[in-house]
Amino acid sequence: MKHKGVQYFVLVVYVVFALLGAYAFYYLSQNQPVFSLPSLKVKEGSEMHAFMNKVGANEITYVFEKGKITFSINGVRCCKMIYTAEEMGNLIETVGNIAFGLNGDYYQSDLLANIERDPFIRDNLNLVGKFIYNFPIGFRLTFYT
Amino acid sequence: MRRKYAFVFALLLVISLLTTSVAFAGGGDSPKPEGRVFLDSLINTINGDLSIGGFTASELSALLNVRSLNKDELDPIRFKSIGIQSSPGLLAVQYNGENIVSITWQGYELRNVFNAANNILHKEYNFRIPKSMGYSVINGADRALLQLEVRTTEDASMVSEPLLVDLPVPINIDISREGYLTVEDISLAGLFDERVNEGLSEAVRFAEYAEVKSIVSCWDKGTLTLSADGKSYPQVILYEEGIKEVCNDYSCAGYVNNFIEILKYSTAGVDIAIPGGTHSQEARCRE
Repeated sequence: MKHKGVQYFVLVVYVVFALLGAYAFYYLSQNQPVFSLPSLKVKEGSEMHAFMNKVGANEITYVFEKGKITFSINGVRCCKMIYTAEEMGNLIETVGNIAFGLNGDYYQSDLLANIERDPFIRDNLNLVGKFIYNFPIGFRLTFYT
Repeated sequence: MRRKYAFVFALLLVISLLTTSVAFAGGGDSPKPEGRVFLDSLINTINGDLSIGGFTASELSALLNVRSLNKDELDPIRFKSIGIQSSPGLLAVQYNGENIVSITWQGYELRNVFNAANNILHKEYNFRIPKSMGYSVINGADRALLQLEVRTTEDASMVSEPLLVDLPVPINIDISREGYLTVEDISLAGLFDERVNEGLSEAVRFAEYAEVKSIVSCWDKGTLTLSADGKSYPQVILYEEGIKEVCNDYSCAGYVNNFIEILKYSTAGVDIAIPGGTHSQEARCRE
């Protein structure tokens, strides 16, 4: 009897957590909060550092939100990419196809080769784009010199 | 002697075209142009500096191999302005603001003139302009409004008007596996450096990896769109303040404002066919 009570308690806890999780997902997808990730210092001598020097950038920021990615240099908005789930899906699929195509020619990477051998991943690249579009939380990522 | 006859024949063709224009003048509505290109240029008659499409002489020399005119080249220039305007079915030339000639045509008439002129070229000089190239140019002239202005000034502070490109129908480009370009059926093989062809050949290989046969890319007043084989991709919006920020310490700082002016008001696109691909008939860069 005592054992059954524990089972009910655990079940209630599961249901409560599931409801909280569902509400949290709903809340996030409705409000689209943007979390700032820790800023990253760009290593001197790297290609990124050379690029930033070339364009006179002390700081580069990417803001990933649902359906858009904004790119800013030194706090000035430079360009914005707008996409639907389908468009991002098409982009990921195309980039993936190019990466798989290049694999044999250039990289000889075991990881890419393994991915290439997996027809499930290859056939469902489009879903990755849809997942990115539907991700309920936004991120701000900043690189600085 | 044969050249003399050829010259007389060519003269007769031009006269017949001019008289045709009188017969057609004012009769019927010309088709509305689908696009517009406006290119203004200014010659400073004091120092020979050229300003083209909104760029000053120093900006032009930084971008292209354009030099100022010397005294011998400036001496014969006596006009204030020459304007050439070509719209569907009409070619008009203005000299110092006055209309001096206007020719109306139908597409088939221009093609007839082209064929006749091409035959003369072939017989006299053993040279023939490819038919597809000629027809392509005629079709282009029959679809868009082209305005060219050449003006003179003595004022060193004057700059030409910014270039305006408004072409809602994308330009057809074919790329061969070897990286040779054909623009609107006009072959540009041999025009570019071998490295350009190698780069394009590499791009074709990338497109084949991406399993793409045709690409339509459009620029419309600040927004870049892309579609491949009918599938659309994310669109990119460029911001004026951002471009200026990037150009601040970069080599484009000197002429970035001119580029922004051109890009802000321009619409143009390309419809690229990779080997095995076809051009889209419905593609438009602006509705």
